[in-house]
Amino acid sequence: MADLLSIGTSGINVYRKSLSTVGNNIANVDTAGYSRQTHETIQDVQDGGKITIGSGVLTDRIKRAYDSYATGAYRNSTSLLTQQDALYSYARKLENVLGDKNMSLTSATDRFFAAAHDLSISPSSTTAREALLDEGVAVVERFKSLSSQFAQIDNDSFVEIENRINELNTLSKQLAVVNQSLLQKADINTQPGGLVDQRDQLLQKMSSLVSISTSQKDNGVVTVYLGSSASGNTIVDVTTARDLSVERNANDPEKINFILDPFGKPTVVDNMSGGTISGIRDFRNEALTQARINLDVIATGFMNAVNEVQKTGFDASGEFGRDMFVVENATDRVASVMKMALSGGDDIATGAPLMINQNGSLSALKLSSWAPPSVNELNAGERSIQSVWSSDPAASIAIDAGDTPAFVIQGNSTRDLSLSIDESGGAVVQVFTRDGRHIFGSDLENDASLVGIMTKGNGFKTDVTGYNNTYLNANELNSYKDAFEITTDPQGVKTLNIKGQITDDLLVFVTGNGTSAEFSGAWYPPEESLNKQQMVSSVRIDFIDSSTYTITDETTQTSIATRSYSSGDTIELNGWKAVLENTPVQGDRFTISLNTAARGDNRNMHVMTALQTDRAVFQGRGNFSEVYSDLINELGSVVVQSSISRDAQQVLTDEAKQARDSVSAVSLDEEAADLLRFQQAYQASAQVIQAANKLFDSILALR
Amino acid sequence: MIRVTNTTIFDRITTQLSQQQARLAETQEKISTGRNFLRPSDAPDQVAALDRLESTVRQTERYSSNIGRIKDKLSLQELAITSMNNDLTRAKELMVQGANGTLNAASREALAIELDSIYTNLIAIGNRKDVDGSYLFSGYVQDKAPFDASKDPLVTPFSEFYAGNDEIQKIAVDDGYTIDAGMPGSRLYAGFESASGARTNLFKVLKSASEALKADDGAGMTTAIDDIDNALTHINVRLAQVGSKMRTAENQMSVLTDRSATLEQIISQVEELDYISAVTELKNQTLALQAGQSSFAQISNLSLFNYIK
Repeated sequence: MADLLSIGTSGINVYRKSLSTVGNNIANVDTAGYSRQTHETIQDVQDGGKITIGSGVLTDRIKRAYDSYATGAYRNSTSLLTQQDALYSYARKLENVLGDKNMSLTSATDRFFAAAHDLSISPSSTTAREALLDEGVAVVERFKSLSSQFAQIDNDSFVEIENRINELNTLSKQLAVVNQSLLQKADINTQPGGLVDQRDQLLQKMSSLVSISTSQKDNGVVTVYLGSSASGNTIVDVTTARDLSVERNANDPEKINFILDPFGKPTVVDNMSGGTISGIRDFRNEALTQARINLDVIATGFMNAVNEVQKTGFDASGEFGRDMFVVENATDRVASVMKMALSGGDDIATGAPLMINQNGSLSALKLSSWAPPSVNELNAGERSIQSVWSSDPAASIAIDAGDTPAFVIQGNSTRDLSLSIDESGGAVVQVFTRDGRHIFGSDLENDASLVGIMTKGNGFKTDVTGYNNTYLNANELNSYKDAFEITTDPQGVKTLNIKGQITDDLLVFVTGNGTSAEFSGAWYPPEESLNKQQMVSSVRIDFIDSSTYTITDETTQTSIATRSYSSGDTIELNGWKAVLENTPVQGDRFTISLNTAARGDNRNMHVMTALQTDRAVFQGRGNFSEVYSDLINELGSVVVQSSISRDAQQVLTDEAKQARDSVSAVSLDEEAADLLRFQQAYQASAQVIQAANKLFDSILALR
Repeated sequence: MIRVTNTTIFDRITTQLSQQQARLAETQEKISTGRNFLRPSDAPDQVAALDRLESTVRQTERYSSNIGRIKDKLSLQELAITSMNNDLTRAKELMVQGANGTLNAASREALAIELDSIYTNLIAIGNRKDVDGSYLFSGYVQDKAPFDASKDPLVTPFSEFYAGNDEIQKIAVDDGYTIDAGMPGSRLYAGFESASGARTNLFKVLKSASEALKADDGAGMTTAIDDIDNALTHINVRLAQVGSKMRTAENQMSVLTDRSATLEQIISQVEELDYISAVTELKNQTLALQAGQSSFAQISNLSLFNYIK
């Protein structure tokens, strides 16, 4: 049976421990992650026989105030918060780059177009030409510097991810050590509170870096998984800590991969979410990549549009212009590898390829647009003369007006001929060589039109002996050339293919009662330059009265067409279009020919300056400055969105922390009350001992 | 009942105070820069709109400066044609004098000399340059002067006499709208008919006049006078055309000026800070911050320990 003394002593012991616990709580009021401890006591019960008097108080355990749900919720909230925060802060950095007025792309392109305007006013001025080139270089530099800013942010974010991953690895190792200590006991309720607090603190720090899930054993040992479900990749497996690492993707250095256990059994992790690390990764994959793509779209659009204009115009030396901008390396981001490709102001194609000589006419004809034709189409009663393909002008033919070939294919500049002939208009195409060999078409042996065709005026040689149809449509042994071939497609369009160099000139005629025949061809040199040559071939327009005009090929003096004219009509041929300023009269004559004064010509500059407001460059989305504004707008929206999300998440996280603190944190007022309480209890227990002592004294005093 | 702990109290207060301070700092930045939007994320669509507006303003300024150059060019043309007008009027006077049969050879010679000097002057006018150094009356040809005094217009056809081409220079004054600012020499000096109905040019007319005068060719001199009349009519038509282009340019200038003013107004409405409301907001936020700070001071003092002695 316990006596008063031992009961009092048990009380003293217990309340001393209680006071120490309270003292510990007060000392740790500001310690991060500290869970409030309470000293729990139980009665000391001993079996006493007939009646049992309590034997005092014993320590049960030190209880840690802990709610695993609240702690877990706080961890998850933290992951989401740090993710939004990282996204927001990097998006702000990017916004600062793009929003800076000094870096504005629009101001650089505006200056370029301003220089183009200046050049359109003074096209022959060397200063104005050089100025446009300088502004072109400035635009390239602006693209490059924006690009390098993005590259800088790419680098900085990658380095930060690396650092965070290292932090995470350190925490994993520390957690493994804590797990090791926790293994000593079997029940979490007997673990030292401080140790479990340490474990939870490590988990909290890890969750601010990346989302984790945990599974816990009875003794408090925890296994940590990446991601939101407690399965899959583990970074801490009881006492084993596995490292994470990050690397740039080999195929696309802008993308990053996370590798688990890089020096053991490397596994690619694809379910990283939450935390600062995912926030930065999301920023890279979404906002940064999108900004880079958008910038490239603008760079490509600008480059291609300007180059197109250059190539359709004439430079100062009277030739078609070259690309103004090129990319050095096709695999890198366009904006970072753009380059000015022109070396001098004379390379700028300010002029149009054609000029119109008014010949003192009373009305004026003006060129309104031009583009190389892709198909040679003949209207009823018209001819097309494509006689000057080679660079040797002496090779042209003198032809009498009235009997004309449709066109001539020059031998010494033609290889790999592929001529498509569409006779659905009812016309028949006949192809001859100059010495009278009929190689393609319908047999004219007994045809009256043969007489009209085979004349010197039509290009045949003077000593032609006569009609020769031995090679007519022949493919094999008797063919004109070994590589001669005729194919017909399901629509009835015939193609004449002759491979290799053609040494003879070929004369092409159209006979029969049909209304038209259509030709398209592939010649060597490339069709593009032949079509350009066709566009600039010299023609003459004569008005025989105010509503009729004839078109004549100047080189061969052959009539091409006779057309009617009414006010407002466009006159077009060979890909160009022109309009008359006022009513034409009989005798008005206009000659359209190759532009020999392109240096002082500004017509192509107007096409260039029109690009500034052209929405077709970006498929109708807008012109340059509008598309760039959209880019900034998009980024600004991302920042706003992530700011709103972050603020919302901040509120949730604060509440989760409060919920956790409400269970686990120390309230000084509470502790102060407990301090008083245990002091009184201690003093009271001391009094019990005092009373026991007095009782014993009275026993001792008995004589 | 929720347990409110010390950490909770302090956490909450520090968060709120720092939020208030952030808002205050932002308002202060707006006031000191005078702008509504400090960065795109403040109002993304407004900032984008501002960028576009400013770009349009720059374009409008561009077109205005183009019009300035057009007016320069047209003024120079006007000057030249007026000068030609005077010359041709004088030439007509000389011819009329010369056609008067009472003059002797020496007097006619004197008239011819003056006529020849008028011819040379017309060549010089034809070769005049614009402010940027390009030839005014040469079309697109810029590597040589359009008129050569050593050529004989009676022998050489005009297409060879005139070294320029017929192209008229256009200058942009708005999106898709250009003004023909050029005057090729062929349009000014040629393009009219002689008294006999043949197409002719100014130099041919004057040269024939001079020859007729020197040869005392009465019929020739009469024809020459009629031809000079036709020439005068022709260049006055051109002069009128220059004048109307000038007016078109000026009209467009005032369109652009109006547009520019409207744009600037819109920009300032969007971009400029409304100081009154901003300063009011600043005061409110300052008040809120002060209240937060002083309430924190009061609350943080409360503790049971103060009462347990």
